[in-house]
Amino acid sequence: MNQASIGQFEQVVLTAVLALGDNAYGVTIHGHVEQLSQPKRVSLGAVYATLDRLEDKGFVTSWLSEPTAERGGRSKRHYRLEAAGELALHESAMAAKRICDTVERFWGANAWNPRKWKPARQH
Amino acid sequence: MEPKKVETGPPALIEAVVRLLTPPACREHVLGDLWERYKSPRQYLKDAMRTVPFVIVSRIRRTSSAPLLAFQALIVFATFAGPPLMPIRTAVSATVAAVAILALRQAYRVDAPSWPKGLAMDALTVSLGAVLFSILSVVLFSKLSVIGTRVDIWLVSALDCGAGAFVLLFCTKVLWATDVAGCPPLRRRVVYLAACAAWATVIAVPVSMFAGFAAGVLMENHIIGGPGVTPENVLFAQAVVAVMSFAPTAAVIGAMSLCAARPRLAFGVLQKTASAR
Repeated sequence: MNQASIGQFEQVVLTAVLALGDNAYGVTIHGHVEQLSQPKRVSLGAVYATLDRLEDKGFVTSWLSEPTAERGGRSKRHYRLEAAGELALHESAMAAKRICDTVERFWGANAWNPRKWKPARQH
Repeated sequence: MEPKKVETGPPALIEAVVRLLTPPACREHVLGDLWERYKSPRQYLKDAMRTVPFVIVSRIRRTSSAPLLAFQALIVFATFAGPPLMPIRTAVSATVAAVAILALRQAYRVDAPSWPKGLAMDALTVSLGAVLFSILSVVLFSKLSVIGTRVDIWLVSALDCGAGAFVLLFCTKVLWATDVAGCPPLRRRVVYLAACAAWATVIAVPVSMFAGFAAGVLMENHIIGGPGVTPENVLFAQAVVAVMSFAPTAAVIGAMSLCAARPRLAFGVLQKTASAR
């Protein structure tokens, strides 16, 4: 069982690293995180800070690639999901699934349609 | 007609500023990512402003130890809040400056500090920063000029506090030395501190005695006190008093710096003296 827990934003960043596979580096991770957190905007700096934290927790590892011309001759820092990260992500995804199931039981299928769904109690 | 050069990267000046602000450990990939996202100078600047502060804070979190930072902040506050002449806001400014310097120095460090010179330089930078900010807080908020008023007594007091902070910060850094190149084991570091203390005493005691003797002679001849001090030479008298008051502290700093610059010499002479006895 994984001991360290992850926050919501860390969960999103880990999902992006998982989805991107070998192409997971700053710019692509940020793009994927923005997609996942729509309509919220996310800064590149927040993604870096979270990746650093996840690396300290041992959930991801990173390495520098060869420099490329399209980046002004600079390297990319690639990230890879580690076993501990997979465990933590799985655990939090299971919790999210349980929340989704509960919400759907009360709100029905409309819960996933932003046009049809309305809060039951409005002020 | 020559085709117009297409801009593919950020302007060199803006990139140089961003490069300077980004901690060296993250520079390569952060600048590369910002370059890859480049669309216009305005967008690049906005992107950099929303990225670099996060990178600095994250780097500080990764490189600084919170308990050690808190302990060093406590040392600086205690040394600057100690003297009765010191207003509390100077101690607060000195502490804030010291914490900022300590954290940023760690975050922007390229190589591990050398033993023991690097540690002494760290302590010196932090204590000088603390002295400077404590002076600024008095000069800016009290609307007083530093020379020719009672503030000069306070100035010597600030330097004394800075010296005290230097000695204590150096000792803390030696005892808690982590990621220091060529750092000896703790037992040897304690012996090293004992050698530093011995040298500080050996040098500071005669200097202090000489300063006391010189003060007596100058007082006797009414150079620094009594009817001999006229409005014309009051500044000179104040400067002489200031130098003599600070002399023993300067001797301690000199001894510590010597031990930091030449640790083998500090140990060697001490061992020879001990074995000769």
